[in-house]
Amino acid sequence: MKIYNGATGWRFEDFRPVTVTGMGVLSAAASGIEAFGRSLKEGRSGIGYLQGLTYPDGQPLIGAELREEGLQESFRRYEGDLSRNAGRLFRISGKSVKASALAGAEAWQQAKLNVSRPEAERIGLIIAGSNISPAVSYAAMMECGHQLELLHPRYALNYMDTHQLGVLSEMFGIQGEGATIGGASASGNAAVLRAAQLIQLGIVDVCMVIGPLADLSPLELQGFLNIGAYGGRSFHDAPAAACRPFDSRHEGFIFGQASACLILEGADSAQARQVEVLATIAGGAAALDGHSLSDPSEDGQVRTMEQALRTAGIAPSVIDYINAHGTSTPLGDVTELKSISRVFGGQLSHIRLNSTKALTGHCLYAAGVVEAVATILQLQGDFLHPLPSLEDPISREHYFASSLAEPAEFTYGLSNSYGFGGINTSIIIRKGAS
Amino acid sequence: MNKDQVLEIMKSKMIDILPDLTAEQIHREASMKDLGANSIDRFDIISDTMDELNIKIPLLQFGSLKNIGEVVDFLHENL
Repeated sequence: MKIYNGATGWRFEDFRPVTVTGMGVLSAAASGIEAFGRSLKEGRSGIGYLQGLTYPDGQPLIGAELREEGLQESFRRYEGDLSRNAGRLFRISGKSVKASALAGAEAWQQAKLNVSRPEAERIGLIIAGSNISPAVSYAAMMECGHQLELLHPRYALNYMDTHQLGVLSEMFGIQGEGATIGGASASGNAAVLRAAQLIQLGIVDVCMVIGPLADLSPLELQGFLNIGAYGGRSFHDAPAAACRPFDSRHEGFIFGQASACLILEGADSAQARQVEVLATIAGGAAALDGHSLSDPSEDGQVRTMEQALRTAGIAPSVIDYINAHGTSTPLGDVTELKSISRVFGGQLSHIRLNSTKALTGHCLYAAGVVEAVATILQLQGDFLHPLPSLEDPISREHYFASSLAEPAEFTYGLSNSYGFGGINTSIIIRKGAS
Repeated sequence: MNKDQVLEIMKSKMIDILPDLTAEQIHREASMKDLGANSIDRFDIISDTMDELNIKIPLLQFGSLKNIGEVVDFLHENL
């Protein structure tokens, strides 16, 4: 088999097809895939205020916060499918691990892995992100103060991102390859790509991809405020309107908490287990700009989208829909639109475009996975989710979503995620089986 | 609060963490390790018990205690 073809990189069709057989999600606006699909259709935002945090002027910080209350009850219905001590593991875990477990359990069930599954060694686990739960360290510091000897020994385990790998693999009985994949705000897409490679190479048959909820401490959020990246100052009384990707009044990103899970599976494995294929990962690429700051790069984004199209073996005109990175940051939004124009040129009048962050806020490490879920729900449900906060678009050239959901028949969707440090990623998702 | 009450709290925490145990197995002479509690479980049991008793003692101080009875006595002394 020829797998390397020079400058074009690897073509997905030269490898084992990678399908999506399960999805799970937990967001501030909706818990579960069905409710999340409805919230997308209705254009319902989960953005409100973050408890206990403020802008420099003392106003409460706008963001989408997932409440921890009630998660244990929600998890109970899955416990029967999982390892014996899953309930206790859940109870002693932090908020991010809890959210990961819930999204994972929903996807596991949808993929019918609770009914039939490959051997444990043939199932992989990829967790998106790094520095996922700095709130854990912050809380421990606050609790112990200067008496560090009071620190609970469990801290040595649970401050690490890889704790999520340990807990989830124990709950779900996963024994194949596992890792956390960090890529700042591009982590979700980077994780999907890594999981797809594990399946393409035959290292695993099924791979659980988790986009974990970012459990930030006041330090990280203050950092984003101080660097000038955080938005919402003009929207104190209307938090749902604060995240406005591609609108002339965009001011910066708004933090959102969500967790999401995709079950990726080799097409042969999905067929053998007779499970429904929800979508196919048709292509994708990741590339660095070669700079260390937060600025986006048009060249890097163009290169990455073009490479993703090549890996999928499709022309730009085949893409029907783009789920943009679209964080509501002035420079970021403008740069991404320019990149899209360069790649899709004459196709702009038919390619529909939205950004799920308008409704969820920016879910950081989970963003790529949340947006892959949103893309698949739109491909499956034949609709385009609205952008309620888009009142005065910064471009007349692009065909944005409107203020209400629209019927749409998409076959190919492209989803962008970009991260600080010049990290660019694009994935291409095809409706249904390949 | 007397030592028996401390022991009852500790029993409930142990069963919570090690659901295979029965209350009868947990007595002053037994050691947590022999009952199947690993090192992290043992810290969790003591930590959960201290939370309920509303006391804070560095966990390293429990290292030399040989059985459940000695843990109960040490907790009781620090109430």
